This record gives sequence, C-alpha cells and structure tokens, in this order.
Amino acid sequence: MITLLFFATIANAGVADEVMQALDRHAVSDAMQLVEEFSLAESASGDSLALAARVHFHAGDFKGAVSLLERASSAGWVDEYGQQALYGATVEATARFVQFDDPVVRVRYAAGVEAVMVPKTIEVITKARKWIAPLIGETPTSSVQVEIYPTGRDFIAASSLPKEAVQTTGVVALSKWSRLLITSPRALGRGYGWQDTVAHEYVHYLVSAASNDQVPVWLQEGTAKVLENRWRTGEDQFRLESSARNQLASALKVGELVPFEAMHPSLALLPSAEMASLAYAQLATLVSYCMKTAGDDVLVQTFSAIRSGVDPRKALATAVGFADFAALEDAWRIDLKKTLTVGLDGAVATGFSLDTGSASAADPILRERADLARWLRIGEILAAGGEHTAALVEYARARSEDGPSSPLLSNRIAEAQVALGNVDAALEELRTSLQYFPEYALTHETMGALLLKRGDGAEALNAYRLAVDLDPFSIEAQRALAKLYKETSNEGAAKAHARYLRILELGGEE
Amino acid sequence: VLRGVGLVLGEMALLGAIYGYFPTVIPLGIAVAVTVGLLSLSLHWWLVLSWVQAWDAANDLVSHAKLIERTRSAMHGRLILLAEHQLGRHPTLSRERLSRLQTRVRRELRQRPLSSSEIPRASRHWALLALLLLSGWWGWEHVTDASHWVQLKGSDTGEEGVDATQAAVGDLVLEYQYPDYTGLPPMIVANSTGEAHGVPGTRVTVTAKVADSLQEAQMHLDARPAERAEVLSGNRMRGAFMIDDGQEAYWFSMYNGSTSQESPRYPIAVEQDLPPVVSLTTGDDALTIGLTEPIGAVWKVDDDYGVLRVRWRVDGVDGRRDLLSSGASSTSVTGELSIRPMDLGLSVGDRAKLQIIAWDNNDVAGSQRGESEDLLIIVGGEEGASKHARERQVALRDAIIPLLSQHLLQAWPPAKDQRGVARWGEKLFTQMQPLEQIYDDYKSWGVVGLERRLLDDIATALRSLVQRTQAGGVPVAKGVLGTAPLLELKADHEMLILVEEDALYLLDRAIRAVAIDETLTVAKRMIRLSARVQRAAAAEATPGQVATILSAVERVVSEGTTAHKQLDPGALQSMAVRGGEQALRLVEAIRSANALDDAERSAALVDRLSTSLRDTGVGVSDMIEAMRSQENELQSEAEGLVEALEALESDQRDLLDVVYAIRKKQEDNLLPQMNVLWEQVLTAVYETATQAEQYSQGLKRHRRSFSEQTQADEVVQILDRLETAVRARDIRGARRAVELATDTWGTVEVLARFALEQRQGTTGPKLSDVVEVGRNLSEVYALLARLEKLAEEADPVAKMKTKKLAPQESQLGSTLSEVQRAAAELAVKLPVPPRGMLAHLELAASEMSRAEAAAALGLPMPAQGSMGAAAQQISDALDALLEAMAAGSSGKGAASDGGNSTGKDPAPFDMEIPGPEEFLSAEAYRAALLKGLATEAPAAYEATKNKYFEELVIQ
Repeated sequence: MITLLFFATIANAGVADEVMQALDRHAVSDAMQLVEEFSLAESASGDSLALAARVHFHAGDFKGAVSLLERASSAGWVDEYGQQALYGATVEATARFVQFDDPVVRVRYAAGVEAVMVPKTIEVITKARKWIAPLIGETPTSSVQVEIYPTGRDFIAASSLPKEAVQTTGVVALSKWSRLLITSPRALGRGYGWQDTVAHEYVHYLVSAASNDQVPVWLQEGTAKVLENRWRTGEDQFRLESSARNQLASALKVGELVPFEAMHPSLALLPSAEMASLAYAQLATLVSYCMKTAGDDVLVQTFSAIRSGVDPRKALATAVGFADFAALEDAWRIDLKKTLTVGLDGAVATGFSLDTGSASAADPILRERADLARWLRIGEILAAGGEHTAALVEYARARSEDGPSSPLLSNRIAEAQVALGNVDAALEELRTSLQYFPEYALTHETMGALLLKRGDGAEALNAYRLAVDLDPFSIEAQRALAKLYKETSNEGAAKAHARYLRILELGGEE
Repeated sequence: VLRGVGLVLGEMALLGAIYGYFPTVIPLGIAVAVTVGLLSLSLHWWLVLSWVQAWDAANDLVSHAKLIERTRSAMHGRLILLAEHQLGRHPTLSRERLSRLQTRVRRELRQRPLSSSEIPRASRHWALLALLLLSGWWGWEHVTDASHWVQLKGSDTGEEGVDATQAAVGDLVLEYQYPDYTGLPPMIVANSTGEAHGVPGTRVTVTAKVADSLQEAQMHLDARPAERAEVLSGNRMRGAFMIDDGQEAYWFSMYNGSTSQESPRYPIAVEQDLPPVVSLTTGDDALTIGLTEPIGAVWKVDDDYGVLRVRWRVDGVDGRRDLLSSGASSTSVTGELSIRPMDLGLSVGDRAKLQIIAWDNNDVAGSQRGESEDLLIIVGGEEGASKHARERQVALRDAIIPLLSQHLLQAWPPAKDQRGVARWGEKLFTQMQPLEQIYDDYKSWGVVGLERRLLDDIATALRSLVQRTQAGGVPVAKGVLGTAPLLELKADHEMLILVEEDALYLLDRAIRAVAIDETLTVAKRMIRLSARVQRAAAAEATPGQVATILSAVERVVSEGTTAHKQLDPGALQSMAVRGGEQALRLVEAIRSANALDDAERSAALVDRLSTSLRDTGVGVSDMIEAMRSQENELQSEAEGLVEALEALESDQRDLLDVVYAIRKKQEDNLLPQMNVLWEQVLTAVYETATQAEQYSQGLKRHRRSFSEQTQADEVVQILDRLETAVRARDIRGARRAVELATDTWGTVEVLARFALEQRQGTTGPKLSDVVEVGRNLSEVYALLARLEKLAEEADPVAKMKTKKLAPQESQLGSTLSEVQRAAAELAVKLPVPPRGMLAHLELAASEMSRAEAAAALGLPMPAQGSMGAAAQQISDALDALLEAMAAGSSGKGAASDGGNSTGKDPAPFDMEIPGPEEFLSAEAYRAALLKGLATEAPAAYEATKNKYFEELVIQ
C-alpha cells in the first residue's frame, strides 16, 4: 500500500512537471489534455486540483479555475500566492466579456464599444505571426488569447499588479498566464499606441514560448521593444523615443550607464524608475545592435541556446559572434557612441493616468502641473465665451517653462488660432506638439479637422487614421474617416469605419 | 480652599437640616454626600493646589495657555498662539488659520479633557456645587417619598363614617344628553349598572326604583351638597347631574318617613375630550424645497368630536390664514399643503420648523389645540440652493469673461498723459456696469458666499485701480506720466486681472462641482433605470410599459444634459455625454423596431439599452469616485504640509521664547540706561508726528496737490505705527517704521519742491517745514541706533546662552528646507495655487539663517528679531496654504457656500465703486469746477476737486 502511494506521488509529480512545461511554452491545449488524461480535475488531491485550476486559468476558463481552486482548498491545498483572490478578481473583471474567435487569436472584450478594437487586434496578431514570430522561433500553432480591459481598474484587478505599480511604471499591458492582457485606450483618456503594445506583449508571449520561459526579463524587454513595430511591414522601424535617447546620451556622456550585471536576473532590482527607463533604453539598443550586427536570426539562436541551458548573456554574445558578453558590451558601447542621435530638446517621458475624468488629468504634462492646468482652464473659459485672443494670452501662461508645452494646450491654442483665422499658426503648433507627443490622439484629430478645413483631404485622412489608431473611440474621427474613405472610393474602409461609428453610437454591435 | 471648605460645610448643613426633618430616610444620603465632598476636597487640596498656585501666579492669558500646553504636548503651541492672537500679538492670523487653530485645540481638549490634576480651581468649585445640587436633589426625592409615606400613613385613619343603612335599588335608567359640540344624539341606557360616563358637560338623568316605600329622596354627588331628587310613582325617583372633571361617584339617599337609607355609590367615569391628533407627512423629518415650490406635504387632523380649524405655524409663530375653518363637526380632515416657502415669509437658504396646528370644537371646556411634529423646511436646500447658486455663478462668470478679456488685451500704457489715464479710468468704470447689475441683484437677494466674495474682490481691485487713474501720481511735465506712477498703475492693473482670473477659475470650479454632483445623481438613476429596463425585457412588458420606460430614459438623459455641459472637457464629460446620446439613439431605434413590429430586434435593442445605461452609470460613478479619491489624496498631502508648517512655527516660537528670556534678563541689567534713551525717542517721535500732522493739515487747507496730501497722510500713519512700536519698546519694529517714514517723507519733499519751485503762487507749508520733519526723523533713527547698540552689548552669560541656540536654529533651518521641498512639490499640484507660500518660506529661510548667524555671534536681540520674523513668515506661508486649500476645496465648499442665502446680510454690502460724478469728462468737470471752486465741495469729492484744480492751474 505504501509503495503504491509512493508511485502515485511520483507519477503525479511527473504529470505536474509536464503540465508546467506545457504552460511555459504556452501549449495550453497540451496542458489541458494532460489534465483530462490524468483526470486531475476529478482528483481528491488538493495539489492536483490546483494544477488543473491553473491550466483552466491559462485557458481563460476563469470560473472553472475558481471552482477547482475552491475544491483544492477544501482538499487541504494551501493558497500560498493568493491565487484564489486573483482568479476571483479576474472572474469579476471579465464578467461581461464576450469573445471573438479567429484562427490565430481569440479576442475577449467587455461587451460594448471595445468591439471596435477587435479587427485591428486580429490584424496585429496575424501580421506579427507573419513578420515577428520567425525572428524568435517557431510560429505557434495554437491561437493566443487577447483580453481587452475597458478600465484601468479592471486591468489592475486582472493583472494582480498593485495600483501604485501600474501608475508609476506605466504598465498598461501584460503577457502572462499564456494570455495577453491589454488596457483599452479609453482608460487613458487620450489614447495610446495600443497596437504596438499588443505586438510588444505578443513578442513576450513568443519569446517565452520559444525558450520555455527561460529568457530573463531584461533580454525579453530589449527584444520586445525592438520588434514591437515590425508587425506592420516586417521592416525594422525601431527608434527610441526622444526622451530615452536624451537620457541615454546623457548617461553615456558622463559614463553612468546602468551596468548589465545590475539588470540580471531582474530589472525589478534597479533602485529607481529613472534607472529602469535608462536600462530599457540600453537593452533595446543592445538588441538592436545585435540584430544589426549578426542578422535577423540572432534571436532564434540565442533563445535556442538559452532553452538548452546556456547562460543568457553568453548565449547572446555567442550568437552575435563575441567571445563573451563583456566584449559584446564594449562593441555595443562603441557603436552607440557613433550612432546615437540626440532627441528633441526638453523631451520628457510621457506618463499617464488611468481612469481620469478630466482632459488635463490625462495630459502627460498637466497631470503633474496643476498650476499650468489652471491657466489652461481660464483660457478655455475665455475661449468658450468667444474671447479667443484673450484665451491665447492665458494659454501662453500655461506653457511649461523648461520643456514642451502640454499637448492638450497645443490643441487649445490651435483651436483658438483657427477661430481667429490663423490656420497655419494652428497647424504649426500641432506639428511641434506631435514631435514631442506623437501618441496624443487628440492632436492628430485636431490636425485632421484643420487639414480638412483647408481642403487637404488626403492629409486629413492620414491624420484621422493616426488618431483612430491611438484612440479608436473618437466618434468624430470615425465619422470623418467613413466620409473621407467614401470620397476616395475606398468602400471597404468606408464601410468598416461606418460600422465602428455605429458601434460607438449605439454602445456596441447590433 | 476656604471656599471649598465652605461649600462642603454648607452642603452638610443643608443635608443635616433635611435629616432633622425626615430622620428616617436621610442618613444614607448624608453619608454619601459627606464622603464624596471630603474626598473631593482632599483631591483638590493635594493634587490641584500646586497647579492652581502656578495658575494664580501667572497673570496673563498666554501664561495660562502655556500652563495648559505643558500638559498637552500635542497642541504644538496652538493654544499659546490663540492666546497671543487674543492679545493682539498676531493680528495677521487669517480667518482660516484661526478657525483651524480653534478646531484643533477644541479637538485636543475633547480628546483629553482636563483631568482632576489639571483643571483650574473654578472648575473644581463648580464640581462641588454640582455635587451639592445632586445631593439636594437626591434628598428631595426622598422628601417627596416621605411626604407620600406620611400621607399614606394618615390615610390609615379611614374615611368619614356612614351611619345610614344601604337600600336595595334597581331598575336604573340613565339618560344621557351630550353637549352640542360632540354632535352625539341623546342616549338612554336601561337596566344600567349605574355607572355614568361621558365627557364634561354631559347631562345624566338617573331614574331608579327602591324596594321600600319612598317619601323623599336626594341625589349626592361626591362631597357636594345633596340635591333633592324627584320622587315618582311606583317607588321610583329621578335625579340629574352634569358630568364634570374630578367627579367620582353619585348616589341617592332616601327617606321613607322613619328611616334613612342610601343607594350604593355609582361611579362616574369622566371621559376626556382629547385634543386633535395632527400629523404632517412627507416621509422625512426635513424637506428641501425651492422658494416657489408648493410644500406638498399632506396634513391630517383627527379629533374625537370634531375639528374646528386648522392652521400652519412657522418657528412658533402661527400663520395668519386658516387652512381649514369650517367649524364643521367632521372628526377627521386632511389636505395637502399648497403653500410655498415664499408664502411662509421665508427666503432662499432659510431653515424653519413648520407645524400644523388644529383646534377642536369643544365649546364646553374650551377648544383644545393639537399640533403636529416639526417638519424642517430647508428653502432652496442643498439641491435648490445649488441650482440657484449655479445660475448666479454662471451669470457672474459670463459677466467677467468680457471684462477679463478687455483687461488682458489692454495696450500698455493705456494713455500717454494724465488726462488719458483719467479717461481710461472712466472707461474702466463703465465696463463694470454688468457687474454692477449683478451686484444690485445680489444685494436684493441678500446673497453671501463665494459670488459675493469674488465680486467684492473685483470691486476692491477695481476701486484701487480707478482711484490711481484719478490720483495721477507725479507728472513729469505737461501731464506726462513718469515711469514710477506708470509702474504702480500697471501693478494695480495686473492685480485686477489676477483677481478676475481667480474669480473666473473659482466660479468655474464651483459650477463644475455642482455639475459633477448632478452627473453622479443622473448616473445613479441610469443604473436604476437599467435594472428596470432589464426587468421589463425579462417580463416581456407590454408596449405601453416599454413606452413609459423609454420616456423615463429620455427624461433622465435630458436632466443630465445641462450638468454635462458644465463639466470639464475630458473623459468624464465624454462618457456622460456619449452615454446619454447612446441611450437616446437606442430609444429611437427601439421605437422604430416596435413601429415595424420587429419584436426580435426590439428585444435585442432593449437589452442593449439596459447594458448601455448600466455601463454609462457605473462608468461615470466610478470615474467620479476615482476623481474624488485623487482629490482626497491631494488634500491629505496638503494637510501633512500644514502639520509640518505648524510644528515648525511652534518650534521657532519656542526658541524665540528662550532668546527673548535671555534678552529680557540682559535688558533688565541695562534698564536704567535704556529707559532714558526710550524716553528721548518717544519725545522725538511725538514732536515729529506733530510736525508732520501740521504739515499735512496745512496742505489740505491750502488745497495743495492731491499727491502731496496722500504722501504726507501716509507718513502720518507710519508715524502712528512708529509711536506704537516705541511704546512697546520694539527696537526692530521702530527702526523699520522710521526707515519707511524717512523714505516716504523723501517723496513728500520731492513733491513739495515741485509744487513750490515750479508752480507760481503756491501757498501753504514751506520747504523748511519739510526739512525740519526730515531732520527729526534722522534724530529718531540715531537714537534707535544707540539703543540697538546698547542692547547688543551683551553680557558674557547672555552671549554664551545665545550661542548655544545656534545649533537648534540650524536644525530648524534644515527642517525648513525639507518643508520647502515638499511645499514646492505640492504647490504645482494644488488646483488653486497657494499664492506667496513659497516666497514666505524663502523669506523664513533667510530669517532663520540670519537668526542662526546672530545666535552664533551671541547677539540675542537680532537673533530674537530674525526668529520672530521667521515664525511670522512661516505663519504667513501657512495662511497662504490654508487659503489655497479652502479655495481649492471650493469645488464643493464654494458651491454650498455660494448656495447659502439667508436674506439676512451679516455684513453691509459696501462695494465702493466711485460715483459717476467723478468720471465726467475732464473738460466738463473742469468747467464745472471753475464755477464751483468758490463753493465747498462734499468731503468725499474734495480730493478730486483739488486734483482737477491743480491741473487747471498748471495748464
């Protein structure tokens, strides 16, 4: 009898390993098959039930996972990592979710206006599979699940991240538990490059699958940053933001780069947010340098070596053709000094706030500067009263003394200038703002409206397109696009945007 | 102590007297009272005496505050600051600060009330007195018991004996005749038990039969004299009586010629006519209602026999009109109050207790009155007043917008010469007409609160600017303005702009705060409607029911529209507006589907409508909650800074006290020499002030230039302050005053030279008078310098003690640096900037640095001066922060504040916009002046007249 129990334990341990390995490479269906094959969900063992719950959680069956965990708990399993709370919170956050199944992606979203994000999400994943997956390893056979959370609160609940951490680190998406969790641009109040973010998280998903989740975070982040915008055409479009370039240039100049030893094994150990952002910039340029030097298959080789147990730093250096990581680092440093261009003067990293009610609270500059927001508001009141010239006086006071003007302010200035008949001045203001804040959707939209007013339909269409790429919830932009596409006889696009418009107007699909 | 002993003895004597009167019940009371009294006295003696002695020894408020603070470290000097403010030592403490200090001190005392070891003697005596009263009451209770007992004991003697034998009486018939007001018909009760019952005024006729023969009969009613009863045939008799209060029984006595007999005693049950029962129903104890809205509450009056009339009563004063005055005999009447708060004589913002009172129709004992419970009427209330306030705020905001715009775009300088500036002043005045109109409205409404305050601020800034345009300053030549007056004019102009901007922003915040409240209300209703729509869908509601719900959706969305427009542009507004639009579109789509009998589509749309309403409602509610949570976080951060500043100020003042004590001791040693010098200073100041006053009067008498007069007046006022400082022996204050006076007198001299040297025929005070005053001021300055030097010649002990304070001051400086960093971070986050806070802290840092340097050199006096100045700067910074916090929270606060209109204006509405006469064109006025110069002008216009006269003469 004792012998039997012993063998049973061994057998279960083996199954557990197999299940975990399958989950590490995101082979959720394989893991589920094991659960069924070994009847883990019917087991009397708390650990087995918990394992089955985990697989269900990865598969997106949150209620099933909660139910299994409850049984596991009754059977004596101890919830050491707060899984029950997480699973429960996820059930709550996804209570109103509906799903759309595509061969390569399952999109789950809150029933309602998030439906406008579904086609683009499918497009991003499909193209990423085509252009990015081969750079990392084998293209996955199973579909990936993307969850779009309508509010920051829901995202925080389902991600298990503390609210403060989300606000300070700027995390709006996550690749975890074999799923991609994305915050809807609605939650930021100003839109964001959510399509690249989906691609970014998908890169994490692919790297994790290709390496059995062995690749350390620092290398993952560098890889994801470099590849996140390749999904469009497959071409390398990597370019650091101005603020990151400035930070990197400054650190390089004074010899204060973050040592790579400090990033390994985890970036979380870095002492400040500034150092973390500098580390990200370093990593991205390092991976970019590696790909530039050794070709596009450098990552496939690296991840393959890591999977077989080679130290990640050694694996990367070898793949690029260096004896060790120190040599790679030296070469990267020399290249960086040669190639790094300085970003826009005064460029700042754009933070964000989730679920904010006012436009100034969602503005990357004004959210930290209530004093400037006050001048802006006084200007807005004057403008609303038809006093546009006076509004411009107040807007001038709302400009930041030592950095770029707030993008919201630039939009207001442009509106006032237009009201006064100065369309060119308005466009100039917006163009300058876009250099600093290319991901501020309203600026593109205002630009589109101005260009349309000036009769430049093609440019306007482009501006509106950029606007909805960042914030697909703008009724005005969707309406304009439907009209402009129709005028240019692009019936397919016109119909698509007309459909989005209808979804936004009725709060969901009919 | 003697009083305490006296009180205890007095108590003992009183209780002893009671004991003497009622010996059986008192011993325990005496024992308890005496024991507690003596214990109390002992405690008082042993624990409080030393403290009380210290208290008695300290003769002033501040020392008392310090004594209390010694046992209350958490007060952080707040009580002392309050005491000092009481004595006028901190005249600049703002209202917000003062209120905050008081609140904190109260809270501290509430949390840790003064215990027996700390309370002052007076409190102890009150406690003893209270004990005495308690014992007295306790004793009296027993006295009452004893009396009752005595009475009971007396009753043991029994009633008065009845000698008559009891007769057999039967066949009782009682005939009742009720008073008219009851409306009850007469009633006959045959075979009665004899018991009579009825309301007072009921006439009862009793017929009875006796077994024996009957010759005479009498009817008895309690102890009243018997009345003859009617003897009827068949051994029957009849008597009657009227039921009245207090009656207990009646009976017959009979005489058959030989023996007397009595019937049994029949009880009389007097039924009371109860007063009317009045109710006023609204579902709540308070009703929030608009001034012109009908109150709508339902009143009801029930009475046993009839309601005579019904009336309302407000705050104890009966209304003049009856709600019901039928005089009918209806026992239950009801109605709905259609009167409005306006009819009750109430105004917006008033609170009043409304009652319904009713009288019954009892004309026997007199009409009785019943009254309902109070119903609190809040006129305008939160909601109504907010609505009114918002209308006012929007009107004021819209009136300020063009004004601010004009002022922002004003070309500078506004004119090249004095005349042009004066005309500009006139124009400014005319621009303010719309505000004047609003001002008049406010005055008639008795509006107080945010709008009034902002309007006052604008009026004050405008008044200052307009006056300056008319005063003109120092013209360089031919009326062309000099740089300095132009700069002053610009400063005033910028101040007006600043005030207008503040007003605009604060009004906007207040309007938005109300809009957010309303948006939240609408969001909650949307959530409720969502559930209703869902239920209707599940229950397959009839088309009529669906139509009703759709109308409700439209109504709710429509109610939100006004509020949504006032929201700050952003996600909240977008979500609320779009949610409303979505709902309306869905309503239309459902109607279309219903019209086409497309049940399936209709059902899907209804489901969508429910989801949309819920999503919008929940989304908006969550967002508002998140916004408020962020505001609360910011407010907490600001509170933290307030605490830090308070602690810093308190620590600085503590150190100030130490250095003051050192200096005082040092000065005591130098007192004789210093006394002599102070006397000399005082004499010199007095002489100078007299000369300056005479000079100023001379200018007025000779109608010299307005500028000369104002400058000379200013010096006279400064000299007043100088005299005060000298009397207070405040060297530093005196030096500052004399420096300021010297500077200003310099301007007087320039103006005098201009007047006397360039204008022909100028009369009045001479240049030598000016020089004389200047010389005296220099003398005062020299005397003060000597005093300062003398005070600084510290003795070695004082020097050493002062040096020891330097590290502590340095530590305070470090703390201030940290506070400054926190303040700088917070300043840019607060929606309303704490104007001047950072500058005050910067000055405090400088003063602390000076104080540290002076302390390091062992100089107590300058150290004291700088420490005092540093503490004051911190206090000012604190004020600025508190004001900003108060204004910032006016998102909510201002809205409610703005909604308060009492109709009783607490302060005169003294907006002093200069009268239009002053702003007639210069030419017209000049012409009028030429005619009118010979006559006296009203005092208020004297200065203006002189100014134009001056110009006329020059040109």
